[in-house]
Amino acid sequence: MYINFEVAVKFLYVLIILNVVFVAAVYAIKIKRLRRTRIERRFEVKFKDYFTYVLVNIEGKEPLQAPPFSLNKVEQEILQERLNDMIENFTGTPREKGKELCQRLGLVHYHLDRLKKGSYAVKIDAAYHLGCMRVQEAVPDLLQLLATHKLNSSLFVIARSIAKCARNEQDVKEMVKLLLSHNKGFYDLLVDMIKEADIEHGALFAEFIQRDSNEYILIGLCGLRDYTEPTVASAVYRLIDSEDRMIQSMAVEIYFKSVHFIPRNVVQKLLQHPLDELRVLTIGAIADQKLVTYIDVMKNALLDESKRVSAASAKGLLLLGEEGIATLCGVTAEVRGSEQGEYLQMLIEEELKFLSVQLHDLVKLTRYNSLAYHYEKTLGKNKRIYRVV
Amino acid sequence: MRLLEYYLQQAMDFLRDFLLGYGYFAMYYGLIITFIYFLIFGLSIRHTYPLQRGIKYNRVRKLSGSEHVPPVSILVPAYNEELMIKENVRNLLALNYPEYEVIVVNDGSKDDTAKIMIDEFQLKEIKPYVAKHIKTNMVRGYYHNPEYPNLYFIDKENGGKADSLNAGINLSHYGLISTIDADSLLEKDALTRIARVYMENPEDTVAVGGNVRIVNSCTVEDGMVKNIRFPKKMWPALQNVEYIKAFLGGRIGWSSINGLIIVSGAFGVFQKDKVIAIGGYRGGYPGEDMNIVIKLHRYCLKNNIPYHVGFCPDAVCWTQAPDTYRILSSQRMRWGRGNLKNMIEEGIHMIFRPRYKLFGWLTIPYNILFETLNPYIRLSGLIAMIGYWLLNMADWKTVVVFMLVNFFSCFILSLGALFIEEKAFSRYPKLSDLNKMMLYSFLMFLGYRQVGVLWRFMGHIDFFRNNNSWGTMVRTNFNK
Repeated sequence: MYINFEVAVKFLYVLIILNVVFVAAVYAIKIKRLRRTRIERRFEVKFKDYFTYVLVNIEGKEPLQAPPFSLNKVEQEILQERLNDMIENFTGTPREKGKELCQRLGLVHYHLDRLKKGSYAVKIDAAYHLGCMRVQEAVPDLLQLLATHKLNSSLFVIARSIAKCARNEQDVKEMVKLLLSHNKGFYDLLVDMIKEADIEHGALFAEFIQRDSNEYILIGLCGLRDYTEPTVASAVYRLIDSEDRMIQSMAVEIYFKSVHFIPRNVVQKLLQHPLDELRVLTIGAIADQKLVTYIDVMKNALLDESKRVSAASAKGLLLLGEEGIATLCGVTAEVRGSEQGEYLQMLIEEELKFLSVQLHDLVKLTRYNSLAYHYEKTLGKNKRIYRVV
Repeated sequence: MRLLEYYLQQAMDFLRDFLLGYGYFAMYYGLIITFIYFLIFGLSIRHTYPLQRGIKYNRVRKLSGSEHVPPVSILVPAYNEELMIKENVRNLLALNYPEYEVIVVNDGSKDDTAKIMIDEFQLKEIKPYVAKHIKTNMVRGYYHNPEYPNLYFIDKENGGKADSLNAGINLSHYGLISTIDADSLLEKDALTRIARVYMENPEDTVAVGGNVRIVNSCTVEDGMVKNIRFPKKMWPALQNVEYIKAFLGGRIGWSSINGLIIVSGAFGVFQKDKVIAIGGYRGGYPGEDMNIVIKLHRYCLKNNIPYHVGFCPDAVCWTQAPDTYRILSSQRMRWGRGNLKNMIEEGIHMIFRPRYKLFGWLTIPYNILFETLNPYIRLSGLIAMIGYWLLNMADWKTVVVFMLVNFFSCFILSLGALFIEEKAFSRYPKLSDLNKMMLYSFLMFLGYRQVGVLWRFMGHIDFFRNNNSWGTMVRTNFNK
């Protein structure tokens, strides 16, 4: 027991020392932070005129001059942050002049040096700043750092910096290759980073979808998601038959966005797909493009086993004019009494209710009249609905 | 007479042996719990640096404008929230996030929550397509206004918070769901910050928890926290340091080893298909936020699905902390009941089972031994202390030394949490705020922790008496 007590007392001393160390550390951090905040406030005042000068001359022909006074370390850090923001937010000449100013201030050289010789934390910090300043000379060292880095948030900081500094498409491809070795499906993040590179993104994504690797195809598809050119439709067409569900559904989505007319064989193939999500997409595309020629297809889809598809088809037919509305009401009357029929009738009545308060809109008024007419003709035997003129 | 003395002596010897045995048990219990605490705090501090780099070097503002950020359905269960619902929804509609929807679920409130929502946002009843992923209580109606295209309102029969969340899941249109309490306010970029964590590993990340901070005494304008202040009242102040310790000191560390057992109900993001795969939220009992995370761990480990439950300390949700003893005790008793229920329902099936890996070998045992059973150990320890004193088994020096060891080993954990707070976040700008945090970290040991044990114990009594009510809950406006 005596020994335990001795041990406890010694342990207590160690604990007290550790507590004191932590208290000191916490206060030291706080005081340092408060001091920095004060310097930041002073910096705002001291640099106000200088930043006015920078903003006025950012688009001029003359190069931007360095501040006319010496900077301490904290001031240099704050100035660096401001210039980073400026380079990030501007494009064209202002961005180039911002980069040039960083060069003149020695910031580029300083961070290149840190990237080569610093500790791990310093290297990450340097990588970030070099990325912000778009320093192309940094790419080889950044790629080297990326190749040996483990998977965590800092990995993406380095990767983004490479994209920003990229000299050409090859640098971006190298970065993508290194990141894909982690195999974690961060395609959207990758695409977001690639878009920071000063290269032809669309061409790169189109090249990716031609590859055999599903990972590259997924990156390409993520990148092409917001493209609407017809060339994209032909590029993704072959992927509509992909065995990978994710690739297939993304390809279909992009295809519908970028195509001007959907061939019948594609419509028929997709409406037989087991995934109701794809069937809904197809019906949505027909409705969006107002392809009246596919009313027969939409008619069949009304009785689809999935309520999502059925509802999408009903809503789609409502957008396909008089003929679409007549088809919808006709099919609903045919299956009257069944669960499907009740559901379709409910959808029609809801739409009528909704349109009845939107009569200030000419398109909706026309649709209301047409729907009311066909509803009354086929379904509304007990309820008279008046057309609005 | 001699026989009586003999038996008395025997009884005393037995009691001494028993107390000595208990003393060893308590000592090893204390040592193990301290070791685990230190381990988790060590991990938290170690992971503060990469976290800090992630926060500093990722330009969240730029990411919040990216079309590659995943769309999110925000679910807001509301029961008798007439005072805060308007402000909360306005706050959610003004988030810096490219694509999201807000689904407010009125859980059969007895007050004017539904009326306020419908009037304030001019909502009209709609008949949307609603999936039937999870069975819920009857929904009275779905409401929407095209002028607020990303706001939906569900009015349903009372069925509890879990049931409301399930109804929200059924209506939701996106692959990620976020749960937010109606008495909480999200920072504008909170969702982007969580999305960043998700985007770094979208295949494995099944859930990400946000950081919950206390809004009492802060100034709230237009649904946004403007002036951050340390709470003025005692109870919120104590909870403030408690939350900092739990979230920064605990959850960062647990998440780094994928052992996080809870994603706070106040703010978290989940993969919808995984939540549906495990049957949604478990209704009928408090602690649904812990339950869903345990079930996610169980499901993924059982089916050998690679997964991660993350924590994002820079994604902040501000919540109102109870400011009276009555409300606080009610909340803590509810938490105690929820914890016990979860351990009985899920924990005992996972403890020390090799298939559940670290979660079954560390998180669940830690939770059962040091969280669920904690009140019994503490209360029996108090009785034992009286026994040691009566039987003259411990002198005052020993008691004082062991109490000081206990105090300093716990206080250093609070200091560790403050270290992380100041190093990585420093949300409270003034030095006086830090002084207050230090003071309340110390004051926590003078009654608050002890009464917390008692509340948990009373929660267990409620559990065994089948008292399943939500307890006292009084809402006040923000800025009060």
